[in-house]
Amino acid sequence: MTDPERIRNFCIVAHIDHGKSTLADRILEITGAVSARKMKKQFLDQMDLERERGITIKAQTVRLTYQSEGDERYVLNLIDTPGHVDFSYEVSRSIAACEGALLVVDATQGVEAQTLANVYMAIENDLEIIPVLNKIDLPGADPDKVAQEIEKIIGLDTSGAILASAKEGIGIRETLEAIVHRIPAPTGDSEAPLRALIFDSWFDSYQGAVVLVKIVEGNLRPGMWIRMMSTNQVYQVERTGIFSPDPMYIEQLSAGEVGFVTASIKTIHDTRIGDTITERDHPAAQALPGFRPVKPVVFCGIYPVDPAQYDHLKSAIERLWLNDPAFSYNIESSAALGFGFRCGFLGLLHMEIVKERLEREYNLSLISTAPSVSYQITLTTGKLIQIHNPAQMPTSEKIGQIAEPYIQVEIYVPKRYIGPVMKLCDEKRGIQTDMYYLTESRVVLRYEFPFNEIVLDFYDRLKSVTRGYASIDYEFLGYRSANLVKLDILINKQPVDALSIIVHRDKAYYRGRELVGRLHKIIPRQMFEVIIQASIGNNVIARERIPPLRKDVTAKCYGGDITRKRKLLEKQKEGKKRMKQIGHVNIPQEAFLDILKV
Amino acid sequence: MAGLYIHIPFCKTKCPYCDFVSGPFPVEIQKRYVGALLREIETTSQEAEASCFDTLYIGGGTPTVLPVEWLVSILEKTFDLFSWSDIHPEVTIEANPGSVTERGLRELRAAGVNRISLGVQSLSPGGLKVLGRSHSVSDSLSAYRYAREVGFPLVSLDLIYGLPGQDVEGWHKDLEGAISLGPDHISCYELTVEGDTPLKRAVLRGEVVLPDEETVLEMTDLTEDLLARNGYRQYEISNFAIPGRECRHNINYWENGAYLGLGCSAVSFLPPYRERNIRDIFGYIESVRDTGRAIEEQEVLDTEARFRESVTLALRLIRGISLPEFSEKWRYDPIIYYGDTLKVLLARGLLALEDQHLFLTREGRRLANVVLSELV
Repeated sequence: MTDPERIRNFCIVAHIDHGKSTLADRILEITGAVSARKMKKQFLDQMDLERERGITIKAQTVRLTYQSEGDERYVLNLIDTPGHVDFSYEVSRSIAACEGALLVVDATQGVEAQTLANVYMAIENDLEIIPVLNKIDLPGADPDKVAQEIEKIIGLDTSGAILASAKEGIGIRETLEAIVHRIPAPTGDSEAPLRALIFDSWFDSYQGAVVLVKIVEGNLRPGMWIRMMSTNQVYQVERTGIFSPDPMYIEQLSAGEVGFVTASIKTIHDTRIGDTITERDHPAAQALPGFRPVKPVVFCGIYPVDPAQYDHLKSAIERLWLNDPAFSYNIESSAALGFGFRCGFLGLLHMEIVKERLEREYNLSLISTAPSVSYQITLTTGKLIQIHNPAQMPTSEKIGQIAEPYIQVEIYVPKRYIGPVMKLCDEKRGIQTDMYYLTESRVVLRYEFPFNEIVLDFYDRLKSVTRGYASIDYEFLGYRSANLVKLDILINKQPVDALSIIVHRDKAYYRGRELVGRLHKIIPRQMFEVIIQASIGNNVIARERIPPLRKDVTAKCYGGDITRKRKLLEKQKEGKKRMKQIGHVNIPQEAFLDILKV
Repeated sequence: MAGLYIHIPFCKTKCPYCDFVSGPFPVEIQKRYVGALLREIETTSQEAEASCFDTLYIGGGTPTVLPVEWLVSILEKTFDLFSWSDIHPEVTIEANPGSVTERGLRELRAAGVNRISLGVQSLSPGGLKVLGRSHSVSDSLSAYRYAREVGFPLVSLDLIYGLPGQDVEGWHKDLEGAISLGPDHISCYELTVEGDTPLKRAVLRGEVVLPDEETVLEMTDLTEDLLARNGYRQYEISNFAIPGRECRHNINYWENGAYLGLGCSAVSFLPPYRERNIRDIFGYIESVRDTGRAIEEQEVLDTEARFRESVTLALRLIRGISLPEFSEKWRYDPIIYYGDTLKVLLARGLLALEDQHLFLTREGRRLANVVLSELV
């Protein structure tokens, strides 16, 4: 058992690309947790996907031993947090497990929206915050200006800010000293009944759920019977341990410590992030505050390209869900795509990650339909229904009222991009509620949006109109009624349910034309004429024609060409196989998602 | 049936649309190449798989850019060392009108060549210019005359249509011109914009505009109709001949018969093995010098894959597939084997079934890749 006085639990708060992972790498190196030779760049981001995208999806934690300049040994627990707005609840729980945070800000860029959201979270949780101005080695670095920004925006004293370049190894030792001297030690009582905060968990096929916990009070050891306070599920602890960074079993975890616990838990649905673990026989009176179940907000259909792969998809989704219960899934069927799943996600990035993991880790070829939000419909009978899929929308005469979810978005943007950003927001039906200058050159725009408008491509468009200089954060406001209609796409007179979308009536005409135009480009010529139409109810609002293919022949094929020509034919055949046949028309997979990015 | 193919990778100039292994090379390299070729003839002729051949085809490139004596020595060695099913096998040489002389053709004829395929390509000066050909229309006319004068019994003309700037009328004139010469055989190829060629780049840059699809379809229809009216029977997608004067060597390819290919990049098919020689001229020369052979790549297809490949090749032939012959040879009945896929193609009128033969319809020939990609 480590003396709590010698424990420091901290996390790193930073915007994407501001150097969080590199700083973590340097800290690991200097404390000897990972030898430089073994060091892969971005050690903490373990999933391939995380490393490729340069972001953290799952929380990681690592215990480090640090010999301070006063020659005292400290145990440092670095809790790495997910870095995307989709995962802000997970971030809040990781932050709740810490007593301090490093606020890493790129000295060439300044404070960004997500940094702010997370820093406020850290402040709410009473964390000691140490500003670290990173990338000071770069020519564009202006640490004074950025420090002022931090003081002005966040109200943090930056006199103790550390100037660092994680890439060049500058300021790392100072950062470690600040951690031990400025961040308080955890205060929990080891003798009190157990209260352990779950801040992440994942599924391991040998051990079941591996649960990351911070012991707030009491202690946790193998053999102990524990209870999950939100679900009342009871388990017997098998093992307790820490990551340093490889997993190491230890005899017990006690107050102030961070580590993992396994208890033959079959699904991590039972190890909810934010929940409190207590001892069955000596339970704590109250759970730790802040727990709430996560709720998906973005929905899309996921279907196998080859309908025969449905069972394979089903087992892949079930297995992936063991590892990521934040997404939801329900069987659905589409006339166009056959059997698949309507899945719910925390956000768009989460959706892309799940889809990519399914394809990559389970070798599936998938079609995903356009993301949609969930709508509340009051039927003329007075009944209230919730739909996650445009195909479920009742016919217009049955609808009394439709309500769509609204969100509040804060956009942080350099002054010179205000014009284009406001134009984009208008286009997306945004209602401006506030605008103020953070500094002379940076502005915060606050808007209320129908969430639906943000789901498709808002973030990409925002990045492109601001050359990547804008950042956003959002929160839900609730449902508001709106004049929405269902736009159907017909291919050779057959409605394709998977291509239906729900749009605002004022935009239906434009979207219909746009959609038909894109399909016209994306659907290859077939052996027969293809007519693409967009309609609302029985009114056709747009139409395009793809003329039949009349010529596709290889002029020359002699002895030396046979293999090559055969391979070309095989490729043509494969290409056709990857398309989805609807009626007799072959439609490329990307049609179902990409064309909707207007 | 088995064919022997010899590749000569040299040309006077490289044409902008060509993606074959060929081009201009110094005579010194040509000499070393011919040396290697003679060596490869020796080594392969001693191997068991080199059985008895029915046809010989010297292609390229432009074989006739080589000094005629070298070609004659290649021919002599080939006739000497391999066995032949007939004392007068079909022996074809490809020639470019700009690279033949009456003397040269006379010597080739005397050495046993009985079929000449002239790369006329176009009979209009504008056509030759956009194709970047180094010969003139009158070169083509003289070459044809020489070939007849020295007594070639089989003369074939190669033509290309769908040229940038060409209209249906222009192609009509080319075809009429070719027919008026009275060749035994005419090959008409639609211009294909291949991989990485100057033509492709020019098209991508928009400097060159090809005729639209409608026009090319009209040209194709015209080709088939006009040649048929003049006694040339179409026997393959791009090949037409006075009945009985088809190219037997090429028919063997479409029947997926055996062949031995010599020279760089040449392909051999000695079932079930298909082998390709080293593409690079220098690599080929070196390999033959060291080992007598130059095989770089081998492909082995199982029976079913060979059956499927044979179907896609045989359907290029106008007569198509003889169902009884295929069923007997492969032990797969195509009708049963392809089941519904075939039914759909028949129902759409792309394939037809008559007298136990399965063949592409006229519409099917225009969309051959669509049909064949279903069957491959």
